[in-house]
Amino acid sequence: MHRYFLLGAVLVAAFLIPVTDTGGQQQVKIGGKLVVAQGTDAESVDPINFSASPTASIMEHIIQTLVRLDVEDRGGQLETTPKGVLAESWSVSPDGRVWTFNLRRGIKFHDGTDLDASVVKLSLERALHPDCAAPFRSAVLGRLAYSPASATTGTVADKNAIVWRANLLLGPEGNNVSVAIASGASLGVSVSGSAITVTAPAGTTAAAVIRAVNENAAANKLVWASNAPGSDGSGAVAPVTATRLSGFATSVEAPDANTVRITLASPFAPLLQHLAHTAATIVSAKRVREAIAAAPPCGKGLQDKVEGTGPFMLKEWRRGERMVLVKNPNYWERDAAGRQLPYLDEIEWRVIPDDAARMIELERGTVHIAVRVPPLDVPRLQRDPNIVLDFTTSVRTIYIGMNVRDRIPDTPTGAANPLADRRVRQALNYCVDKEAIVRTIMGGQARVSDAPIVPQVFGYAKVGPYPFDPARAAALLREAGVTLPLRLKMHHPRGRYVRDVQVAQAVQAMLGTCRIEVELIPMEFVSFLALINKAPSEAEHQLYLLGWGTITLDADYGLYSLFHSSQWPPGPFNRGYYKNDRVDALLQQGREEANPDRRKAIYAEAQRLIWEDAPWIFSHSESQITGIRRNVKGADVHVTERLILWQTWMD
Amino acid sequence: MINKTLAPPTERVIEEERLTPARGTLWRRLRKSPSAMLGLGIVLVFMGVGLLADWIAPYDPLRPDFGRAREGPSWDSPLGRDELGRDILSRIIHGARISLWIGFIAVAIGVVLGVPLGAISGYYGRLDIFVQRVVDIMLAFPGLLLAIVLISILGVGLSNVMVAVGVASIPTYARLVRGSVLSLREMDYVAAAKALGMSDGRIIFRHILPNCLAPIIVQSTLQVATAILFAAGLGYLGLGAKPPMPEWGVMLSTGRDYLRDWPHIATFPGLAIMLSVLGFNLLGDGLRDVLDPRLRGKL
Repeated sequence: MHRYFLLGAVLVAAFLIPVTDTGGQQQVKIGGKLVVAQGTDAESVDPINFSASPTASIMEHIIQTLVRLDVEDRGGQLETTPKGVLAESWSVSPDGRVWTFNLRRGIKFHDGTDLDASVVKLSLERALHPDCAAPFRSAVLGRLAYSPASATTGTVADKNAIVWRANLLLGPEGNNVSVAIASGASLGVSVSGSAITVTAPAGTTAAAVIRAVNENAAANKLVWASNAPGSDGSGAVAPVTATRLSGFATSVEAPDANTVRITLASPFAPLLQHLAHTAATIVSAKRVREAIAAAPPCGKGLQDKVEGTGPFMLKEWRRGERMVLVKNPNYWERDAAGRQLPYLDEIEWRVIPDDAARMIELERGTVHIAVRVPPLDVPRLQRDPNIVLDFTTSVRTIYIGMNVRDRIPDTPTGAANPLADRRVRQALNYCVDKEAIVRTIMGGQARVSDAPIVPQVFGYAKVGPYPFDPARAAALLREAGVTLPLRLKMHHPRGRYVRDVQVAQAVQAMLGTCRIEVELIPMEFVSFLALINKAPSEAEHQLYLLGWGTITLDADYGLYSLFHSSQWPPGPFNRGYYKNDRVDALLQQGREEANPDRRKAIYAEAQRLIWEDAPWIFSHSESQITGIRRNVKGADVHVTERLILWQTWMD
Repeated sequence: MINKTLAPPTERVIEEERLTPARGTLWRRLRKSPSAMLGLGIVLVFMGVGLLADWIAPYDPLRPDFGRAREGPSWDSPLGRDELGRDILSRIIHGARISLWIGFIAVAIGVVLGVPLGAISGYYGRLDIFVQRVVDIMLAFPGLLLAIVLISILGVGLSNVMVAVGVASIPTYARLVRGSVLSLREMDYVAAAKALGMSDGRIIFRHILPNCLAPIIVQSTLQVATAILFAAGLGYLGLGAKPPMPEWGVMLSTGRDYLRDWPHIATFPGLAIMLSVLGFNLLGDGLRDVLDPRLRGKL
């Protein structure tokens, strides 16, 4: 297992380490209130109900994961190492399927309750539950597709159909698997909610159907065993045990108070990276249990308040304005010198969407840390003796997604969509001068995308970029028979990404020179997310500017969620409804393959196909520029766009 | 008795002369006011630039040139380049046309709807109470706020800005015309017209409204300035014209991000707004002094 991480670390080419030193030998000053300015507010503090990094950045101060990824500098070479947080140690079975985590003892939640294995189980199961539709369920935890009980019963609906019903829960992966079975045998499989109906040709007995399903399931490397002989088709109830639905099916168990056991159906090397994601944070069970009892299975009303084990406690949240965290006096972690953490008494996260206003507050000193410094402001801020700029790589790719369905909305009456034609999408890519965006808008503090993911991510393969070639664009548009000017709409957030409005306007101006007239619709980030999070039959969007940070540093997270056809909204992140069967198959293989070299080859092919299909205008990848007042020490900017402030103090 | 019966007609003749001065007189008197002439000059330049934009703008106002982004003023680009390298002078020239359109269409909407409303309200006492309460409600909102409310109903876009700004000016016209009509309808010539059996419509449109023309002209000139300002304000707030349209308010809004390091991007559109509004205001003030001295200080 460890080898995987070393390998990943070598490929993680050039992370810049945080500038400030958190060495324990230094004299630190305890206390004080730190003010941090972000461009967007948190959406929610419920781990199953958020989707953006600025939210995670705050949440990770309140709630914690079993493990976290530390980025360390080893003589110029950077490595990511998983480090125990709530888990003190862990071990994995020789076959790589059973992971055992030993919890740290004596940890209390902010509400005074104890951390034990049952709480961990509750949090993880809630994150995995398909009905809860956590945005990151599939991206992060999809491998842990959750079946709460191993038994289900099949009933014979009529002579030739069996319906499995009840407590077998299906996610998007489940649906796919079922369809795969159907294509293998001459059986019809349909899934609706928690019921799977298998229909066989006339004259087949239910017993034969069950046998066929099982054989086929085995052929698909699925564990879908039946201990029942089935029924003769007379309508009698036949008990069937379907223990595993998906290749990644798993269970989370709590054999004793301090042990958590996660069982996977197949080995999954980057499990720790995935458990380090904010979506897998552990929340105090007290209110969650009450909420679930009131509104099973996920609970309601947990988005405004949370109790965790983190160094800070949520004190006050005025939406759209600020969130105040206060020191957790009983926090368990100590620094290298044995001092109790955190050093600060209070952190106030303020929402200042306007770049210029955020910088002014930083320069005046009313804000101590400001994220997302506009690149063009860098020279001025560098001259300011009171400000230190932190440059940290980001793994975030900025792109303009395209709705590729034939009609928008995708209903028989929807309008014909020119973007369904690959040539038009390629033309858009040729028409946008990415170099100019990086140079002019981003002040050189960005990198032109040459793949859907960035080089620091495992599995990256250089497949681009699309050169700036308006003549080629014009030729492709002609070939596609598009009437010019082509009119398109583009939704984009305001204040979420570095210079997002300016990037959108630049793309609009560039497309204008190719006689593609784009109407810009700027939106506040949270409502923008809601607009593009719709099923294709309801979706109205054509072009949408968005970013994606591959924060597990593995291609699976950066590609599967965005390009696999099982990941169409609502919920997941394939918001342009892209579908390519070969890409689907490759991305699935990449998930299942353990050999790193073979995975790289798989992802290289997938990226090449995606690149040719051009479901995005591939733009650029950002870098993080954070403005920090000089008197703030030990503020850590993580490569995954988190601020880490529990070892921060103010002079 | 004799004196009393003879005196009023004389006064009325003088008053009517004052209300509608001969054309030559108007021009002569306007020329005496330097500020009005300055205003007229600015307005004429502004209108000329707007009308001839396609011929006099040195560059395509929409074409970016990223190599020259944020470049300061030079001989080649007298007002410099904006954040995407577009020529600011060309954008301001084309922006003049947009502002001109907004100003005139908005005023036309206000006049076409506001004037008859005011006339009817003033002429028919029974309707007055209803119409004026509606006008009161509309006047209770500051004009820009009313326009924002209308935009939020109609949706963002340039044509909706014209409608919103125009509708927002209806109550001003209605109130203004009503006041004039209230006094004019008591005039003897109106009574005479009634005695001759003229229809109300003919009396209102042929005999009363022509006498209200002076305040309407004055108000309309000032209203163009207000409309330009409102449209720029709405554009600045992202509720009016949209990028990449070279509307002055939009240019000001995008330029704001660069204000500290590249102030020319926002400054020149700002100056254009200021100058054009100043021009229409000066001209409107001058016209008021000439056409309708009684209105001094009232508008």
